[in-house]
Amino acid sequence: MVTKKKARKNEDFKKVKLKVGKKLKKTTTTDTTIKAKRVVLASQLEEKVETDENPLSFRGLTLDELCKQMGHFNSKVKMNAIQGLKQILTSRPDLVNVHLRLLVPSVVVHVSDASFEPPTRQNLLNLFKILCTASVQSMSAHITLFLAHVLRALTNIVTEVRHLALNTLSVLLDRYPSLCRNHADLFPCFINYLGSSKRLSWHKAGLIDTILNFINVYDMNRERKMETTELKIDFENGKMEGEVNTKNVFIQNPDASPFDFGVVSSSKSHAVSPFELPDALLNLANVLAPIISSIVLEDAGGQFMIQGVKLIEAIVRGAENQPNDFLLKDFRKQVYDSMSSVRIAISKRQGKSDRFRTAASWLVTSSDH
Amino acid sequence: MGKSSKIEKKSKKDGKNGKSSAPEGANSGKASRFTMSERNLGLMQEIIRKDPESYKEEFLEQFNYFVQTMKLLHLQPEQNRQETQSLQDSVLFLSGLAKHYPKEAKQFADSLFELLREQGAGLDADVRMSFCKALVLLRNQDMLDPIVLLETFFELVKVEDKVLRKFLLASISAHLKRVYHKKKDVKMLGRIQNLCFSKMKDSRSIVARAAQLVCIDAFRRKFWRDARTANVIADACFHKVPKIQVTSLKFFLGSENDNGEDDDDDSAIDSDAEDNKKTLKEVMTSFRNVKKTRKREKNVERAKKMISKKKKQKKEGRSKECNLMAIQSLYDPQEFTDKLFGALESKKMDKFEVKVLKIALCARIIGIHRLHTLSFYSYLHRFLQPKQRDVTRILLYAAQACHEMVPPDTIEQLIRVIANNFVTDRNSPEAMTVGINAIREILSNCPFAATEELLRDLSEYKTYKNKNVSMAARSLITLFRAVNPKLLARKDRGKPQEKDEDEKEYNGFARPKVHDFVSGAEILDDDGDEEGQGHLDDNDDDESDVDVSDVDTDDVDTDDEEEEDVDDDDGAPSAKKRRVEENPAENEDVDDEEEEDVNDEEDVDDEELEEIDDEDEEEDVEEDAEEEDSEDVEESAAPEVVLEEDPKKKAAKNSMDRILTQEDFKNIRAYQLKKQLIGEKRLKKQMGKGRSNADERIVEEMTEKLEMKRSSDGLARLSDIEHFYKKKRQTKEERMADIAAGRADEDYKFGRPKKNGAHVGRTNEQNSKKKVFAMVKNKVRGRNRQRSFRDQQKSLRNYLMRQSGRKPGNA
Repeated sequence: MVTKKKARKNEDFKKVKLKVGKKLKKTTTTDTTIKAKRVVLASQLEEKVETDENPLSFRGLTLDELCKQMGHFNSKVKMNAIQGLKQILTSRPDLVNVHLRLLVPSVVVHVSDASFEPPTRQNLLNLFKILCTASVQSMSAHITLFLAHVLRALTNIVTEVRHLALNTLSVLLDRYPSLCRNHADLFPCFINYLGSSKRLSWHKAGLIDTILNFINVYDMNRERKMETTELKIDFENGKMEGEVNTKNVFIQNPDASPFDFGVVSSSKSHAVSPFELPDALLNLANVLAPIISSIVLEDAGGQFMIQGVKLIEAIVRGAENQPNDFLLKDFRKQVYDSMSSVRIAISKRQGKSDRFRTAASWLVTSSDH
Repeated sequence: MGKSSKIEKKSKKDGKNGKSSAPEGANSGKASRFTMSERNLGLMQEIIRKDPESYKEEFLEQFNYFVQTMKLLHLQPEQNRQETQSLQDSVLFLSGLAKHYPKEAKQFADSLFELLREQGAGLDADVRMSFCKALVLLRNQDMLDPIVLLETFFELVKVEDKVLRKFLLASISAHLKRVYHKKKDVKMLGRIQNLCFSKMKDSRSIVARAAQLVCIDAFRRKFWRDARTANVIADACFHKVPKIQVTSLKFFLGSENDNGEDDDDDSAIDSDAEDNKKTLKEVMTSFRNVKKTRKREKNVERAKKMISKKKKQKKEGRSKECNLMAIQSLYDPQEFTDKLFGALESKKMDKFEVKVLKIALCARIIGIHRLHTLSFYSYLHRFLQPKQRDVTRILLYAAQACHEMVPPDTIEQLIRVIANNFVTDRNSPEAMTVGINAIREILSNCPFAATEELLRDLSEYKTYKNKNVSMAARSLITLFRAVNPKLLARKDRGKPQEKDEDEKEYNGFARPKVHDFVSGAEILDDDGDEEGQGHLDDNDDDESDVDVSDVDTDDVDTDDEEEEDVDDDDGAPSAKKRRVEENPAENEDVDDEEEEDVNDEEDVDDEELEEIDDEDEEEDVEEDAEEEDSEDVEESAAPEVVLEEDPKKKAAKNSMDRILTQEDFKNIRAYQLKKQLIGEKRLKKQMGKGRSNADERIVEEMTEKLEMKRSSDGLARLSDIEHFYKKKRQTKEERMADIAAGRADEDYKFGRPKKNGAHVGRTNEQNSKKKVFAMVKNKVRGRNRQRSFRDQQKSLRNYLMRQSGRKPGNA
């Protein structure tokens, strides 16, 4: 019985076994081969330093890491990441503009995340509000993605998600009306949402405001006056005669980039607002009619009074000033018909409906159309 | 709730009819009607399916969600894992309901197609898969054009996603099956076929491979079992990508373990499958609904195993039966083989495995179509070394490539090479055995290549000390006893016997034998003539039938004579039969006497043996006329032979004078079957006295093999080449593996296997005693409460007495 210890002791004095066909190693030579192994140090242990470009959150995470954590599967981690991002961006508002390319894809995805708790959703909305402090120029590159996410969330099956999406949309409409107007999908999608049975009920906070914002976005264009100024351009001499600044003519929106000519641009809504298209307006009227009528009928306290009046006014104005009403047969008649429920509601609410009545005077009187 | 909601829906629908299609949201204040189904798409799908028209709004909402998601996907192809889940859900939902809304379905399918085509490779694997599944679902409901779908699928094959590829191929096959079985839409099958054929020529090899796999599968499953498909697959043997070549080669060669062992039980399997029609699903459902006992569990396991086994066998059988057909339906086998052989010979280096496959296919086609590719045999020479890898296979291919139409000198060269390289004393006995076996196989295919000198050399090995070698040599001798005994040494020839010449196809090389009659027609009675002339006699017909079947079951020894008897009687078969029944006993007696005679004269040399044989023939009056072997026949026998009616003449007469009916052919077949048995018997007789069990086995195996060759494609099998009389001793591992395999399906009829675990071997009561008290406390308490009324009274009384300070007692 040879124990381990003994074996180790006798290692140097082992008897060499001779075998046929096997060469013995020479004892006089030295083995010079070297075995090398690489040691890889994980970057995790690297010291992080807070710099001007690279601020850290309270927990010592950079913006990059936080954005990565936004894609984590655990909702707790995501929640913490949202808070971290909020904290960094509130302390350094200038960073929003710079890092928008990183922030938008990683954060906006979560509009349609159904796994969040209500407080987290509130946090997320606040984060969106912070993101929306970015300037119009820098946001113009990301608004398509942003809106695509938001509009998708609007069609989500979960109520809370739709609610959040609506609030986010409201913020966007408020902050970037010019950019939103250029988005081709926004108008039909939002109309769709309003028309669906799964939208928010009218008296919940946010819906009416969002609708007003929405109308404002498209309504602005309509106030543009049709000026006719003569301009003589003499190409041979390279001179222009007339009191017109060409830049103002071609670019209606001073905020937009100077290269985005209305004539050249492919985005259709820039040239023609949906408010100037009779069928779009008709759709809007159809969708809004039930909301307005329920405001008129059920708003006992009167806190939605002003907004309701505004809504009616917007539609009435849109219908009256419709420049393209020749496109649709009986346009005015159809608008009038669509608002019939509103009319009935106004006539039912005898007492408080004076303001409504004045606003809707066109609707009430134009029955002769 | 369901009812009320439906009524509401109805009224809504009516309202809608009046108005235009404008969206409405009249019920803004109310909570959603389907709170239940709000988060559960599956539930909602069920609801919608029941009444698709009134729930269109819900469907459209989901559809909008899908549309928005697709827009997002266009902007940003990469998505988070959690994001993809919701998309998959909605795709599943929409594809399930699409058939109710054709307009949306069209849009849905188009957007799926568009995305898959544009960014199929960039999509998440799961999303891609769910898209494909949705499209398959739509196709099954005939919502889209299958050709467009197939083209998209072939495009998607190039995406590096193994699971997806598997799914695509499976779905294409499933569609073919559907078209083939349910609709019988030949036009559509043809269109798909054309598409697949054009895809086989695609420049991207993976697409070509997918198309090839589809074609092969369709051929095997009989959807496209035609010459066109076979030839397109054959073209792929020359594809530039080796993998595609190999697949085609393997298709023509059949499955790996195609050794022919279970060649003829295909039909048995089929009938088995018909007998027990229970599918796996049925077995499982019936098990699910019964009380689970150990026995039932075991039975189910066994049934499952059997079903899977059967399935496997069926699959293998399918591949076997079709490869022969595929080879036979080649348009131009000679050109194909020349091309394939050219590819073998060319400078381009193939892997050895590919080379072997090509050799195999060449050999098989040469063997089946009897082609002349003479340089193939000399090409094989270089591989025929005992140390060569897979040499037994190459020997097999050499044997398969030999047939009667090859010039004998070419074959002779081949045989000489094998003999020189394998059959020498300095080689291992295994190599020698394999070599002799291979030579035997080659010679059985082309017997004219044998030379006397070589054969005598080889037959020397019959006394070799290794049993395998000696038995291989003996089987070679046995073969030539049957084929051409003149080439053997005198002592090896055995007892000379008459041979049936009509079995032979060739008289010599390139001298095929011309038959002028149906062999075996001599057994037909002459009353068949009358029958042919219109005198129908049912009784006679029946009786002739009985005769043949009687003969079949009888002892083989006496068959010959009986048969002749039956043949002899022309007019009254029934009367003659009685005589026949008496005959065997006599004949056997005679035989026995002869045997005894031979026993007495064991030491007599060959000449005498022959003489005895001849006497034997003389005494057997029923002997056939012999034309070829007239040297062996004595003059004295001749007159008697003349007296008899020559069976050949009779056969010729029968087959020329009358039209043979199905019944006649059946009789002839039965007779020929019986004749084979006689052949075996005769060979055994030929061995003479000193025959051993081993010798008998050789004869049996040989006749078996001959029979098999006649029935199937007639090619040699690997088991023939690698045939060792004495099995090699197994190692311990092999033995243990065998035992384990045997135990696997052992029936535990007596005693059940011991289970493992701490509780084994105790009753439940014993187990409960070991439990922690907290676990069983409630049970004990429950038992307390089940006391009888009297017990309760008793304990109550005791309690009260204790309370009042008295001693509790029985009184």
